[in-house]
Amino acid sequence: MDVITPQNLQEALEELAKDPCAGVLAGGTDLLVKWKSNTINPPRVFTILGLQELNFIREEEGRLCIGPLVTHQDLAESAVVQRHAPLLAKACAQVGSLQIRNRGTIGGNLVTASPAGDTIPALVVLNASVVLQSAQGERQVPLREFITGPGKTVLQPGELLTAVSFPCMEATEVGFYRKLGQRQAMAISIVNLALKATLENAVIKDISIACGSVGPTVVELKRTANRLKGHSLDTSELRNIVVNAGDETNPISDIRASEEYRRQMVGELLYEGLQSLRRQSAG
Amino acid sequence: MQKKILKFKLNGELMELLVSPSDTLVDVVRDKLGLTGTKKGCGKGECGACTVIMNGQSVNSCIVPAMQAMDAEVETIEGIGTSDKMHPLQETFIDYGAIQCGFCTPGMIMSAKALLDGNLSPSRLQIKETIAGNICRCTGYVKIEQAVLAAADKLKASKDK
Repeated sequence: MDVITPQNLQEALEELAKDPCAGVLAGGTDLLVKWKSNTINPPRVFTILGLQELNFIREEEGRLCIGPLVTHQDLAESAVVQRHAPLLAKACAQVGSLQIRNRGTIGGNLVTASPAGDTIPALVVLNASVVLQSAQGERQVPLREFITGPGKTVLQPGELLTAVSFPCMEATEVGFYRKLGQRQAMAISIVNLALKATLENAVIKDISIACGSVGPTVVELKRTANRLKGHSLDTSELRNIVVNAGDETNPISDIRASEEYRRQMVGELLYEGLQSLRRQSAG
Repeated sequence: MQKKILKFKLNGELMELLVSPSDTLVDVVRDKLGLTGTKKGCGKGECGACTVIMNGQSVNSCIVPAMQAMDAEVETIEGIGTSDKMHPLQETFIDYGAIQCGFCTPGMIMSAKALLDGNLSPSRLQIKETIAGNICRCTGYVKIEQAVLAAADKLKASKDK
């Protein structure tokens, strides 16, 4: 595997156009592991980690724009992210270990498209979209449409993910993120769940719920979200509404957990999330 | 595969050597430069035995391609103290019995050093989060936590002098 270091974004895009099958290396926390286990063996990879043009966190016209090379640790610690999207900061803090968070990037997490990816449900409830750039031009794709299956995205050969952005959370919006793993570090999620809701006097006006690790891609609990709308977070009905939320998901049994457990945990994490929203709205 | 020149600073000393582009940082440090204090455990970023400090941050050197260390500053266990003049972390790890087989120790100390370099008053939780990616199967983590706290106190005391 040859490692080539383009000096700027333009050069990276031109090189990628010439050799669209080359790998793209950012923090290496996925690529190197797959390469070492012989899952992949690209003859050439372009390391883009040094490209400062792709390492930024900016607030632009009410949106938060994040460069793909921002690491999970930088996002977890960023005051801007904590203010405008605290659930994303929380999700990033749950990734791997400190050593992994220091290297692994948000762009890498999205392109890897793991069904268990920790940042993906958070970005989905935030209505994120990604910018895909090639030597020919660029296009913007909603994150919901970007990932199409385990490890599969609509990224075309020659294209690079160059930004992810979403609307900053409003003052009336509250969020929640929770990852359930076998331990708190270095664990692949059994279930992860993100929530974003608009509240008015503790009544749910609007809510989006997304969970990972319970289907081939992130699953949005639209039916449950619709049933929750209009209810007060103080109602004793909440538990009944969310108890079967897992029915909307399509998990598998694997080494980490059974299908049944995952389904049940979706409802539990959602209930925990609603309790958290209630505390946030109270105080 | 054509070899490439890699330049970086290792424990304060400028290094320039030929590496294979697919080498990882741990292989360069151990096999090419002979610094075997850094251990190679799982080889896939899970166990933390190979932790070194790169540009001030702890990283798993087994999944850092050597070419990404170009122009970086890398610190390994050899760079932080000697047997005559140990780093406070090395002293407290001994004092608190935070070592048994020793395989995780270099990585554990480098993770702890990266924390203490930026924060001399870490909470127990911060220490736990810092070493969560360093697996120890002998001592349990309590003594390691105590050793890191004690080293922080030592460093603070010597700074206040």
